Amino acid sequence: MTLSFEDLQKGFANRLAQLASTSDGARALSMFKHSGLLVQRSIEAKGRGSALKELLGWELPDQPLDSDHIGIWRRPKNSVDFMRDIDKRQEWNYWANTPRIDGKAKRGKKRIIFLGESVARGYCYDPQFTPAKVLEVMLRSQFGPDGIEVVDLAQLGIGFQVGELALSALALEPDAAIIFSGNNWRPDQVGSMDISCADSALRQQSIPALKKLFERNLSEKTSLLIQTVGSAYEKKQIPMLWVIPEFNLRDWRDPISNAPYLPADSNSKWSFCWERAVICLQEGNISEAEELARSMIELDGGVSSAGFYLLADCNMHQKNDKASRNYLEAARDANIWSGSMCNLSPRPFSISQQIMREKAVTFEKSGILDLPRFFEEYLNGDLPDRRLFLDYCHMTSEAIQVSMAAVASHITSVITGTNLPWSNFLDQDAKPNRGVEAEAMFLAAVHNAHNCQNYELIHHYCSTALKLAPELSEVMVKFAEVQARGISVFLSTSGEELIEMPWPSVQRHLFGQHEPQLDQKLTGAITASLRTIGIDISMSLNKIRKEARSISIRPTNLLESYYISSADQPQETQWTVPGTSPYRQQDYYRAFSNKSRFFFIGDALCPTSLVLTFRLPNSLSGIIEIRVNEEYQHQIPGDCEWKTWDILLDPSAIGEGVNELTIHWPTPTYPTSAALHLAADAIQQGMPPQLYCSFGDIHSFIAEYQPGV
Amino acid sequence: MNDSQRRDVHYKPLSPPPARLKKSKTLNIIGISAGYHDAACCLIRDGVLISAAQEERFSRVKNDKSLPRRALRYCLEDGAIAIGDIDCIAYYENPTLKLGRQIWMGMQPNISDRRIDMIAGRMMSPTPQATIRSSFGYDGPIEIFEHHASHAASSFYLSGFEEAAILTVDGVGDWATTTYGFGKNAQIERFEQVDFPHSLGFFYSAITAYLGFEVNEGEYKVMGLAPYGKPLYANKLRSLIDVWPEGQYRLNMDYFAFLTQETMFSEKLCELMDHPARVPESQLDQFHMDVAKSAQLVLEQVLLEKVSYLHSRVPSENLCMAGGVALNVVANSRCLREGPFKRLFVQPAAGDAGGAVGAAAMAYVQIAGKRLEKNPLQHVYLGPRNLPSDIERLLNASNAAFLNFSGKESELIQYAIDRVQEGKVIAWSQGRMEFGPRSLGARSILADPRDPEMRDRINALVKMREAFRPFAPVVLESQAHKHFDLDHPSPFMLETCTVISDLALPAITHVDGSARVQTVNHSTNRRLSLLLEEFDRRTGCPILLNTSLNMRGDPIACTLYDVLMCFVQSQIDILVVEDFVIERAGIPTLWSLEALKYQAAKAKPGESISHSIYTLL
Ligand SMILES: [Fe+2]
Repeated sequence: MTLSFEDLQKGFANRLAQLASTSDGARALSMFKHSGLLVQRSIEAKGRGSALKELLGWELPDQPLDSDHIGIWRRPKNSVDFMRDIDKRQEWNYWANTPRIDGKAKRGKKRIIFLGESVARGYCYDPQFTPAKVLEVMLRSQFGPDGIEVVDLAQLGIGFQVGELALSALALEPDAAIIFSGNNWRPDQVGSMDISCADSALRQQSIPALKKLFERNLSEKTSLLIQTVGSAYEKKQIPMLWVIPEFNLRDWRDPISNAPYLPADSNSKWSFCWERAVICLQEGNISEAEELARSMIELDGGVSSAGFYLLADCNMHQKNDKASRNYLEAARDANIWSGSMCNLSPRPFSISQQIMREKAVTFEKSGILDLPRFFEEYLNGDLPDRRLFLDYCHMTSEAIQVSMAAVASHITSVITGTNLPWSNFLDQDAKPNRGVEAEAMFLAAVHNAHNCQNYELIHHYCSTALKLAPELSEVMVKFAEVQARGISVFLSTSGEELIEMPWPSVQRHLFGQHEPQLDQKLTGAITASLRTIGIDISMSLNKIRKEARSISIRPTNLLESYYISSADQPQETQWTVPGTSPYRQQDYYRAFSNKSRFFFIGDALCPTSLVLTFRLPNSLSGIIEIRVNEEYQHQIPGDCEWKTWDILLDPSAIGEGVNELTIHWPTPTYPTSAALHLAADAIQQGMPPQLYCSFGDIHSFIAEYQPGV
Repeated sequence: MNDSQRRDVHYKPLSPPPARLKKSKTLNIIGISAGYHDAACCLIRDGVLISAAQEERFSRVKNDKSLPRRALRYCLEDGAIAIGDIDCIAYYENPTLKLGRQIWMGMQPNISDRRIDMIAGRMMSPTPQATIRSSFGYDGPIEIFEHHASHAASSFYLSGFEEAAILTVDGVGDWATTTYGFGKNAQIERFEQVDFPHSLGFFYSAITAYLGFEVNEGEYKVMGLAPYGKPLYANKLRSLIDVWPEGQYRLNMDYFAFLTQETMFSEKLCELMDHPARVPESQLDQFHMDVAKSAQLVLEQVLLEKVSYLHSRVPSENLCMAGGVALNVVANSRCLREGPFKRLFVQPAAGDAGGAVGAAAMAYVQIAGKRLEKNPLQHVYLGPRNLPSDIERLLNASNAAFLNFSGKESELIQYAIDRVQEGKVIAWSQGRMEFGPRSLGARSILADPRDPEMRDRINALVKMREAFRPFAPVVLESQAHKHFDLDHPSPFMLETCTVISDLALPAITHVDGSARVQTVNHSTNRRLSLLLEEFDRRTGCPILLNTSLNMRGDPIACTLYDVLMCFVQSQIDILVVEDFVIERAGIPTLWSLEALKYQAAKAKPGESISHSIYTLL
């Protein structure tokens, strides 16, 4: 039999495929690639692409002055003015509600462009009260009503794309530009970093080394952004002001997570210190708590926030605000490397803040407004907290006013040369009315609840909202009803009633983004605050819940995001969030701490059973414990094979309404070396690495009513 | 427990309530197809195919090719088993063979840089086996079967034939594009195959692309356009295929570009046809219809020749077909009519979704040593159902005006037929969703087939399809022979036949007098049969127009939510979902906002597949 050339070639390809299908073969290929010896042909051909494109995702326009696109606005042919682009309709809501922007400012009018992210949009106040509008009112006190305009180009969630926007906005011929951004400046995913270094860091069991890669990446991106935008504006001799964002240091807490894999048996030591330190702090034994927290940081090399939070708490206890600030900043920055794994909220990292401070002022025409320092002064040295912030980074109207006054002072100075203190710009006209403020407070309560913040903080925003505007209670009641029923808001009668209520910010921010959630803590805070003004909704809410979702109506999937979102365990629940598939590691529940929380709706004393399919990680066998509403129910043996258990609960432990189930996992063995090798393999293959130790896996978990029992 | 009031009860049971280990006693095999197009998952329990669904129906990404994680969860839930109860996962193609084919493509001269990068990426990606383990947490046995072996098994093992010749034809899977074999009892053997790049599927897809339709989607359109044309270019197109002896054939690769580029056909095809390729969405003229007719004819001719060859090797009366080309119902029917076989079985999910079933069936045969039970396949209502109690609860909590026919089935039927007679178009969601590409009366749009305006009306209301494509009829099995030239049931809408009815049926009759018929009876779809009987009783017409319940570009509706959103976005007159009816005027105004949200939440591109070329990688 004679083989054709084609057959011979096919045989070769098949043999290579067989080799590449072995794990060593695949790894060797991958390492070859990441060594740079096998450069991908297309990249080589294109000359490795520009650094801008690779790092920031955009390129320098050829003619920025002639740009016909600025964000959602487009300049039609033969027109000087920009109109909102109908093709970008889906994005309109992320921007100011401005149908049209004049191509040029009117004669004699100064034009300030205002760029930034959700903080600069005035999240929770927009559209009724926005930083850009406040700034315009303030500036008009100096320039006259027709002497100046502020063009609001802030966009929700904009990251490093703000640079591209700033360049295209040169087409508006501004007299000055403000960029209030940085909360969404994040490092890349680990897959886009130097894989050879990431691989080595993991194989040498050093997450701190991995963290450095992320820090380097963020610092490169930030520098490049400021350099690119700064020099473009410098060239046109247009003054710029970079506003360095601040973070809600005192009130915001990232949901606490364990340390990632640490070398040797450091994980067990770390956990011991953590548990002990928490107890010491509660007992007022500050010095021991401090010592334990320091040991934690020494063990984890600063890649976990827990030790820093403890040190901050110890120092706050001793009223040492300066030290607390340092630790709270360190806690905020600690998880920079695990952003996508821990679902980290937006924030300004110290690295970006510092680069802005250093780099922006190297341009003659650029300046900075350093909000961390400015707010510290404003608060007489206090830590930033709920007075200035609605959540992690979005500002209260008070913070918006004072920061915009500082911006106004700076802009006046660069345009007119007159130096006026910022307090001169505080203006009564630039305050939101009572209702708008109340809405923002309620929205803040929702936002904090959905980001795992503590009950006290959520309750604070709810009750502040009601104090400002008791009539907002109608919104809160209906909202609680919608969540209790758990039907998408536009479909239900309660939702319809809610939307017809005349609360514009609520309409803008509350709908369309959230899937219904049980919202156990939030509805609790709403119920408690309403009670103080004489409204009791606990009975009616419970009735709705039972009618819609009781296990006596149909079995409850305890892993459904409606219920599990109330657990405040974002690392555990991320797999249920739609749209995160590229970073999905496993399609089942994985516990990352020794306790997992679940919820269901029941009737008091109702006979209830569970069907649980679980396993323990790393060839561990051990006993898990199940509790309902803190009451012990069962101990069940488990090992590394999936097993399904039928579990009857003690009916006397079942309460009316929301019931909490907990699973307590045995301590794992922390197979750091093997796990980090696997993580390195995953990175090689473009998959998300698993860097936290699993305590247990649940594939399915159902609660059902057992009438016969 | 902030806002729930717990009763303080001091009762303690004498002994703690028990917890016991639960273990399935059945043999549970999961079949999976993924990574190419139409990812799907099925469960074969003790030799019975009990659940099957495509991932797209859950993810709402048309032709979703990602690992069918939602479909798997559905199968486990439907079978009341847990992940640990799976005895075997059967995967529908051989990743190493497929990689070999991809590497060979990478070795071609003049290959695009992008291609090279993609192939290199493939070599370093985790295997499907590894992904199944990491994503599902599954640690049991995984059986790998070849792509065309899965196609063949999906057809033969569900055909009910004790022995049959088997022909599989598609674009490509691992290496093979066409295979010839036979099945006898539990045994399947392949004796010949045609390897990539020579592919009848790609021949047809290249013409599809040349005619300005989406590849892997628009092939139906070419088939539907063909009856309007004359086979003026059949000789030219035939020259693209060099038919060799036995089962072999070769594509003349000068006319095809898919081997090295991101397009199906080469410039040379345009030169040959003396026309540039049609720009998508532009005017269709006679030339395009003639090309469609010619391509269809060439496909039919080559298939007929190869079917005859197969019969010469396997002189059976029975033929089983599968693979994407087996979804060309016109060609199937011609193979049956003019070919040497007496009976034809085509697997209703003949494309790659059905590969999941074939792989699982082979694993079952390996383990149990015998064929599937409940063979032949009776129906494909293997997907999830919507519970009436859930529907009622949702409607009660909403402002929708609705009618509740619970326990009043005959009144529901009367109501629906009243509306059909008024010329109304009905969205019909009943029972378990269909598996495979066709709506077969579980998630359907129904209307009066006698109405000459109906085709345009439905297109205007919801489908927005090309006007030249007719809709399909669903007919009572017992009456089918009176209206269609059909002497056997056609439960899966996989054959065309001539309309011989005394009735004028303009909405479902093609320009050449043919129709793509689905027959139903009481045992497989009771409620739809009742509906047809009532329509027959009143009008003498036991036929309704039936098309899939989805907006253009969307997968077929699955859940109650999908059904409602499709109803809201379309202009369909009436929704009948289980025992409940909503009329258009009864839709609350805010539901349109929900529909916007539903649209916006659709998964981003990237998870879906490309339609400019077959996803070769
Ligand atoms: Fe196939």
